[in-house]
Amino acid sequence: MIPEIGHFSLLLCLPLALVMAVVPLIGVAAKNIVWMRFASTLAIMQWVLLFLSFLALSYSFFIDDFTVKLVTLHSNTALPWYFKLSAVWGNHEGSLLLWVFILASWTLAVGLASSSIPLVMKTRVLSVLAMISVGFLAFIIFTSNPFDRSLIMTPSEGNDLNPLLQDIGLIIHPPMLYIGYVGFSVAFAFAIAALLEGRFDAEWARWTRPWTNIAWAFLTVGIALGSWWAYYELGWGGWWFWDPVENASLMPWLAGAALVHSLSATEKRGVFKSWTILLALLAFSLSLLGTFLVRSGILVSVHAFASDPERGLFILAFLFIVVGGSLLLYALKAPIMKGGAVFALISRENLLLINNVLFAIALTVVLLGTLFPLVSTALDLGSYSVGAPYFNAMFAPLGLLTVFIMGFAPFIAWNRFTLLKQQSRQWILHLLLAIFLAMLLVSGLSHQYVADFNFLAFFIASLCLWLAVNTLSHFFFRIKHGGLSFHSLSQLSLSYYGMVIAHIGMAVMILGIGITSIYESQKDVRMAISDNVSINSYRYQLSEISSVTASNYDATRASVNVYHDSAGEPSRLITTLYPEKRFYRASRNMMTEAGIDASLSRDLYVSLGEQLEPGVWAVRVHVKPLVRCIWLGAILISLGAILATFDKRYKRSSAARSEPGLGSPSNH
Amino acid sequence: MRIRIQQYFLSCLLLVCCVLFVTTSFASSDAKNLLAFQSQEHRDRYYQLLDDIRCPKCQNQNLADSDAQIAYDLRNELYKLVQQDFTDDEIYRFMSGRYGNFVLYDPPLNAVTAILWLFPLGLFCLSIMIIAFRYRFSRPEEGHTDAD
Amino acid sequence: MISRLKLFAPLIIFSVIAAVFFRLENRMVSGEYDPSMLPSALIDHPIPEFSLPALSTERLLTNKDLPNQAYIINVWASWCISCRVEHAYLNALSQKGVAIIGLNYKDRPLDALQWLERLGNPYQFNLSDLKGQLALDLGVYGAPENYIVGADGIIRYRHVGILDDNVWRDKIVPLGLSW
Repeated sequence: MIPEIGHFSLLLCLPLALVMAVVPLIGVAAKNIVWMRFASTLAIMQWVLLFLSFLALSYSFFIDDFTVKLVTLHSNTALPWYFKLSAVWGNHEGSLLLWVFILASWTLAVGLASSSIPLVMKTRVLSVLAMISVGFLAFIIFTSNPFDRSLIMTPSEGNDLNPLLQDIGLIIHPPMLYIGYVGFSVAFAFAIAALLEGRFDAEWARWTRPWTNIAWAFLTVGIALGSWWAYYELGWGGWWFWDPVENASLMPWLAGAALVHSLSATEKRGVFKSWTILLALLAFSLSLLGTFLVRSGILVSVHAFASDPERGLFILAFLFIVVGGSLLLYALKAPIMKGGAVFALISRENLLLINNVLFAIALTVVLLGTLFPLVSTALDLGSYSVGAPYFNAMFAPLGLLTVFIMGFAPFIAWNRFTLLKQQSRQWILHLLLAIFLAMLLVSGLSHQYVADFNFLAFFIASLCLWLAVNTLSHFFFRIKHGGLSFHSLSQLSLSYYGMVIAHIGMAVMILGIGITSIYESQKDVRMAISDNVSINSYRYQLSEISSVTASNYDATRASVNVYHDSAGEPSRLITTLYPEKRFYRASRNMMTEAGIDASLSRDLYVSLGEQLEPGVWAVRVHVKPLVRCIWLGAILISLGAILATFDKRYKRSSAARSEPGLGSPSNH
Repeated sequence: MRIRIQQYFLSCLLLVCCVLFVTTSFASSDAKNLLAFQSQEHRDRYYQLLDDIRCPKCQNQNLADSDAQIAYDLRNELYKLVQQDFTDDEIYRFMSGRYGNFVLYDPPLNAVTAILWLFPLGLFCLSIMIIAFRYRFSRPEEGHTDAD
Repeated sequence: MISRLKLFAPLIIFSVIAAVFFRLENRMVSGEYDPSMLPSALIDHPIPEFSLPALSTERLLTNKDLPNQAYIINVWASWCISCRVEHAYLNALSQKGVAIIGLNYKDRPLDALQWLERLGNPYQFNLSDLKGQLALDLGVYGAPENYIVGADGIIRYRHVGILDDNVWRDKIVPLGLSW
């Protein structure tokens, strides 16, 4: 019964979305207000139906309804309830339903919240969102229906949820990621609406900014969560693998980062309209590209859903229509910059342009590296693979250059910047302070990890600390008259706070990436009970091996004591870690759970390998300095983006909320 | 009398055994490295190469991380090659000669793969030139500091 | 005008990428392309030098013992379930006169011999590759795999996975070897 309701709701959505894609646009052409306002009503209806559908599927998973094929394939009665629910999106069909539900949620949000946007533009935005919805709904209904039943010969037990997915990471990572991906569809829709209307002014940028910022914030969190999850779940200590699917999520993020900044320039100074529109189209196009790569079977990846090439063709057709269509529209109707630039070489506009360029190059690198193996195979040029050495080599200089330029960013004025003597003195002081701090940091690390003073680490640390110092000092400069009083703090806009926090977050993240890559160390050893292995001043001792049984797995668990040894002091027990090797009964899969002692300054990481002989185990131990900074930095970045979303200038026209009709606020 | 000496002797033997047993079970040793290398340099090279070679079966993992049987075999082979002082290049050719270029994470530089490096570099240079070129003719108005 | 044309660049780039994907997808649908299958690095190369004992007699065999006509080297093991599925087809092939040499990969000779007794022996002879040394030199990464070798001893094609009639028709017959 419940699955039927879910299925039926899903089926109803398709004609609804079709109506929503067509009728309001006819209303725009015919200047019919009723038909235009119908879009918002349809948005509400669609959301309710998809919510029901999603709820029905979740309920089926929750009660172990094995008549629904999806439940049989991906769930199991022994699974804890929270994993049963997250198993809903731990597979191709269910995750698509989540995707389209999130799309409906964003559409609803646009429908309800944007009373400051003129009706014509808002209608176009909603219709474009509906068109995207049509594509996804058609895909789900015709090729990937989550409500397929097996009513005859219903199994009494399911397979299991892939053990790798049985983790809190599955509960949050995909939803966050999807909210980000799908959120870019709003910016995309605004861009299409702008192209259709021929309107690219500052006001358009002002409407688009909050939607873009918050989508990008969620995507940042989603990617950071994925990285963190891989780190502790996969058991090898890696946090980014340049896996094609990871790259598929990085590309929209890079486009989004550029977009967030480009919109600022368009809003404040009316420049970069072409760039901004293109970036808005690209961000969502890249999200769609990611969807294609993951579900078409064209790539081999631990992240890829098991999918068949016919589905791939469907998505490709959809991609072609949406992306190709939007890029064609762009080519025909985007604004052309007349004349040369009207801003100085050293100006905020120019810095933002350089920023756009750097992110565009980074985007190209990822796109090129990810697609190259596919292209060379398709054109029979040979079989190649591109991995970390290439991407790291390209990203290192790009990232550091970006950090360097960001350091100047808050100080450089719009239009033209003249360097005052006191300012240059101030910057030199900042630089010296940063170098000093970097020296302390790297010396400390070298001492702690008994390594040489690494000049690359010093260089990276100096740059990142310089960025942080500069940004903070700008903040203190802004409040220098009022001090840290509530009054002076509240004078600054949320947008500004967003910038400060996000830029500091970037400094923290790059610092973490650089330091951990250079100073991390690991050892592979054979250990018997009471054996020790040391990395610098940390000593790992295997104290016990025991067996553990949980509801759906059996495990061998090691107890590893970690001591801190330093000359002249007694050994100090820091913690005990419990790495496990788990055997999941239903799927008969083996998994490694690492034992981690986390702290901001370093992670201590142990993973258990195989039993080499009775009583002797292969063990891998790591020490990873500053690795948590990577995710802390990412969290700060998304926090900054969220703050910027709620800046009060985006709510400016709330006074006009009660105005009905076409003539709401802006009349240019 | 003799029996008592025998008993005495056996008890001493037993006691000695117990003492030995107890003391050795408290002895903890330093864990031996999983693999023995000729030198630290050999060890470092081995671990570096493990990261640089892709597992042919679990294609998105390197030899260091993969649990596949072939990865295990290739790790052993790599160990042998490193101990026999093969250079990095020779090892890469060994692996790609058998498994194709695909197993090298760093693709060999040839006419086809050159585009990976040249295209972004070209884009970068082009951008710098365009930006620099455009501003030779600009006439900006008075600037204002809006540090928002 | 030129500026307008510049705006077509993203569309053109996208079209190229989409065309590549389309071609790959088509190839996947027709079964020609499987991303997890690596092309062999030894196509148009001779069989690597080896010296391995025969499975049944333990006599040491080398490259000289390989046939002078076209033959298949079939990589198999008693622990490999897919090999069991493939075996019936190999039996049929050998009855039609196709020469098949077995490479017993990382197996226990006793288990392998028992397996052949139960399921039939299509092989002219079997090489016992206990440590997988020849397999490594061939670039084997799983079982079953089949190497199609010409009369001149040059490898023409490598098929990863179960050999069946479809593969024979679509991939091996077109090589034009005389069986």
